[in-house]
Amino acid sequence: MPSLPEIKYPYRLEQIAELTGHEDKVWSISWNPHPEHPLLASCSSDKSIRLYAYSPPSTPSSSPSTGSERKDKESEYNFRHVSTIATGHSKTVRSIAWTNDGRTLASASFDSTVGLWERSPSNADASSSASGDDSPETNKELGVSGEWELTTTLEGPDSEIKSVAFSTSSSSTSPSPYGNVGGLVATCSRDKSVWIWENVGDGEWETVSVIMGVHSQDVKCLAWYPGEDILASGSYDDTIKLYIDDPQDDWYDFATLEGHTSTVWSLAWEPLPSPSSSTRYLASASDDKSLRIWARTDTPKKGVLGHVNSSDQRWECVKVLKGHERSVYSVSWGHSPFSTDSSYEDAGWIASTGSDGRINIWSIKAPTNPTSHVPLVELIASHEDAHGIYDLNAVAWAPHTTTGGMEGVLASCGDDGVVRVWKVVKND
Amino acid sequence: MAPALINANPTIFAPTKQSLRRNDLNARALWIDQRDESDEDSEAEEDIDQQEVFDLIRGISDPEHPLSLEQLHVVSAEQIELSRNRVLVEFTPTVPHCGMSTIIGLSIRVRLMRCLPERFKLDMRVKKGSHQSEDAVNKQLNDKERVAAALENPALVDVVEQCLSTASKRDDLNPLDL
Repeated sequence: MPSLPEIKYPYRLEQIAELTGHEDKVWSISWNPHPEHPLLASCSSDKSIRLYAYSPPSTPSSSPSTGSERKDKESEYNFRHVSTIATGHSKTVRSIAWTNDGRTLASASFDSTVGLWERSPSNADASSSASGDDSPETNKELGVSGEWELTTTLEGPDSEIKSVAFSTSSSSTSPSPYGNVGGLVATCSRDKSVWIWENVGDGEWETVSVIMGVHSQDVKCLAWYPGEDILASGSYDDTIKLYIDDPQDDWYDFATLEGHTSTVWSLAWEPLPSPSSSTRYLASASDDKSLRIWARTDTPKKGVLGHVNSSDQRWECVKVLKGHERSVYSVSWGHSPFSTDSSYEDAGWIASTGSDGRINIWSIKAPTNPTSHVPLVELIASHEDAHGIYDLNAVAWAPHTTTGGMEGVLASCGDDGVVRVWKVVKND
Repeated sequence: MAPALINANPTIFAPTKQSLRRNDLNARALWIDQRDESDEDSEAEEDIDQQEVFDLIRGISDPEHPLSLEQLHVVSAEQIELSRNRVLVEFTPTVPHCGMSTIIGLSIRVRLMRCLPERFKLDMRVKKGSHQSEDAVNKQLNDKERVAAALENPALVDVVEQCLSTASKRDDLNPLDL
């Protein structure tokens, strides 16, 4: 393959951390979403989970930084390994997910079980009372240190679990002394099923629904609609399904999204654009080397999923993104940094990666024309061989926080057993 | 009574002369710990050709018979395509409904994963028209996650290791010695 002429994109990726330690492929990474727990988790075929703490810079970058400041950036974020969870899974840990309050971590394994992990409360309490030290540094350390214990194992599916995800709806995130009672978690498996469990308190989770007979093949990925108990799944059967609960009956699939010509590996919903509007788009990454953006098109009203009683919902592919030479394994959708303009049109940045070793960053804008559902997409950065010769398995944007500091920060993981953290930087 | 073999009467072909470069390749195949990634673009020295890839897989055994994939014409040098950092191996199952195709494919994949330089990405396919469910077989063999999970299945790994046990001992196989 001849090398392409140097294309100058508006942005580039600069590495700010290289995190080694796993002894086999790293399949997935997940950022703890809560500001009190600045942690990045990674999971591997070595059956362990590694946790890295970092220090979000106290002042958000008000202007894009240049390359010469890279050395400062690395020490600025201070990514450091703080914990390894030897999960006890008997096979690969394929996927991990955090609850919104940042206190529980789920590990999904090829051994067909999911582990739920929490830091033993005694650790945190003992440390704080003993030292009597309430300094911000100590509190930060408390937020990231400690031993992780297995509190629950979810069992049921018959074969390898491919993904696990917690809902972020308000019913799922209202705290109680016993954790987020009412919170939902979903898993999907090679046995073609999607399972939904509910937190019933006291560390107990009950199966709410076992969705079978929907996908005809291995279910690879899941993604909850931001802020709602609506679920999307992607499969080896090349389709995406959307599900909702019928309170009088059971969970059911209300839409099928068809268009990919091979396995759907990963899904990402547009993050909530603003408090007053809701998510409009779903992005998918496929073995067919493309990404697709999907939107609900039976209604001119944008950004409102609406009440889902009717099965009249029409979901269509509104954009196909080409920019990878091989299977696309992962897509992540984050807020676009550096934008002072909180206009409705800005729909964030998509990061994608896969077997070609390339990380692509795409900017997405919603159309100004209220009757159009087609977003404006631009490839704004492309980084080759992000993990050398190795496949990349996942990318994930750092959490969007009100205090800022993590804009444009992205983690990636690959078959080299390494996790890298990048910052998207403007090219002059 | 032994279970019926899927392919009880395979056609057997005589193996071709061994590649003269076989010794070189064996030496290189043991390099797994010696791979030097700090080599400046050593593509020139490490250039692999069809014959070398074929030499790696010709001796793999069929899961059902003490015969090699070469003898059964399941693999051939002509069915290997190479481009920079990419290998495409096409193989021909012995019969169109061959249930053993996945095992054969997996064995080829594991052998090449262990022996080829890590920079090579491997794609596999069955020869067009040679299998009833060729799309299904191709999809499974090229699904990295399914392959990884399969290799964590001890029973499956045993069968694959059996097939691979003869991979570098091709000389010992005598087609008339059943």
